[in-house]
Amino acid sequence: MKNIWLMTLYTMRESISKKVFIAFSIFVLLMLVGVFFAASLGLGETLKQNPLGFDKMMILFKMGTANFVLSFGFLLSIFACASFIPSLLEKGTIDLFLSKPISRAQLLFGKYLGGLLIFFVHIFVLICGIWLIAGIKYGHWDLSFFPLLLSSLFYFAILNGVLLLFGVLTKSSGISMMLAYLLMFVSPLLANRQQIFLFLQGKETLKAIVDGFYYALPKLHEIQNIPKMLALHEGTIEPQILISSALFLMIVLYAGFYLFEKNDY
Amino acid sequence: MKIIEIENLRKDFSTSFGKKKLTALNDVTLSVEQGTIFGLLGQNGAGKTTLIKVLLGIVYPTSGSCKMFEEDFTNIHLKKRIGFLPENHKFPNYMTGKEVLTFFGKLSGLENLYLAKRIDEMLDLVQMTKWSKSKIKTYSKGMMQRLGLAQAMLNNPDLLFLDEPTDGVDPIGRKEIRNVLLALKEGGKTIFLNSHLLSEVELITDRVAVLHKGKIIREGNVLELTKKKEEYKIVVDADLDIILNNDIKEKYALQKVSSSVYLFHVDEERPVNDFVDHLRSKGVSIKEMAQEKNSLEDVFISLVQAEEKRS
Repeated sequence: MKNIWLMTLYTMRESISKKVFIAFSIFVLLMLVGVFFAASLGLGETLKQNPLGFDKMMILFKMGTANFVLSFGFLLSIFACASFIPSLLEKGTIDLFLSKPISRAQLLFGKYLGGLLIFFVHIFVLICGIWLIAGIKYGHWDLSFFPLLLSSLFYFAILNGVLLLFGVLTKSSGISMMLAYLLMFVSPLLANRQQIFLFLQGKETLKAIVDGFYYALPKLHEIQNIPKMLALHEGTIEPQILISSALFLMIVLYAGFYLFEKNDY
Repeated sequence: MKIIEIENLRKDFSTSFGKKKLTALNDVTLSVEQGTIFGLLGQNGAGKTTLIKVLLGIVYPTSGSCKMFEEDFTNIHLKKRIGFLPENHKFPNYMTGKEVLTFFGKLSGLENLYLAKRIDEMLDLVQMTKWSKSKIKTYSKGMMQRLGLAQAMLNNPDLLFLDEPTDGVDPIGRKEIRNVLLALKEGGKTIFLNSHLLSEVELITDRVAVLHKGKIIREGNVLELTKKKEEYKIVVDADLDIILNNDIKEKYALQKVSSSVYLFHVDEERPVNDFVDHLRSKGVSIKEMAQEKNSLEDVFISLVQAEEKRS
């Protein structure tokens, strides 16, 4: 446990040394300052006048702002975390680590957790910041905003898992990053595959392939919508969204750990 | 006590999607005694680094067995007793020298108080105290090597693996490193050394093995390997060309090096004592006599060339 924590802290330190995380931190802080000013400039009055109702508008406002920042946050985090594994596997670095009394699994898990932790710190500040501003300015202390913290973490855990697997497999941060981005951008398309099917009339094989991809890949788009659905009591959450995504994450992590355990360095 | 015992070790690397096999180590058998400095010699690509990596669990062997401290080498806890300086090691360049040592010390399982004391001692030993708060990215190759050595010795290991430890270090620094290694040996530590600098290896190692294309082609005591068994140098106060008759000169293949220095050859039929007795009987005063030595480099080159011819 101590070794994993050491590697986690080491990874956090590594991430701080990269400018992109500092950019993410500045971006989060700027957004919070922006939300604070918007709240001070009478945003609440505008929301109160909306026919949807103040509570609903507040939830939509908070979710919208957080999701806007998060969409950049995911991009920046992938960019920064993609190099964690390839940099560990560089000649001269991996030799040092593997010569220490730490197992390969601990080494890799610490790196994985480090990426997650640095992402979590940012979204925690973001979500708590928005929640506090809304609470202090308008007395809107609705806790339904917080599942966004968990869903975002799950979302990034999956992307970080992809970075881990392809980092171990290819030792290339570029390839890992591209695949994580691809997964992120394909997810909304697959979630709306009914629209794609309109263009595939009579092409059952292609439809089956698209369907196959939908069920095999994690449902990132749907995961990110869960907090909003919960907060607004809209629709029902299909368990398969969470189950298949969790299964994907487990498979990706298992494959990454297995390869790392078996490879010569 | 044998600190390292390797038996019939083989390592094949697969290349081109497993189609071709590259044998990096072929039936390697060797052992290293406690409290000695062992040198592994070989050309580039001979398999020296692979052998160390196998022992440290960085590379998995294809077959064979290895023991360290009389235990199976895969036991991860053994690494608490081992230090390693890899060739061309990379430390995180955003850290300072002291931070690097703190991190790797903690990873080696050292407690904070002991670690802080040990870091100061090691920095002092490798003369890096002055730069301990500078970022790694500002370090020269020699400074990196010194820090690497400090890192390898941080946990006070019983067994130290050093892969090209003096690479990039100036002559004075090399001498200091040699002295550190000799002091460690005096303290009962065992050192496994990979180096291209054969003149240095010769100065500090007790035993060496020559690795060629993954096979051990010679192993032995450095003195045994380098001495010219049949040739002696003698310094006398007389002109042996005049004193000795031609039969004796031919028998011992006497060669004049300078006015008072001669070389002569001995074997079982021509023992060295007989030659000395003969000189004494002629009233020659012997000022100095020593067995001639090859340099380790000469031995290494001749071994490799002979192996090349054979294959």
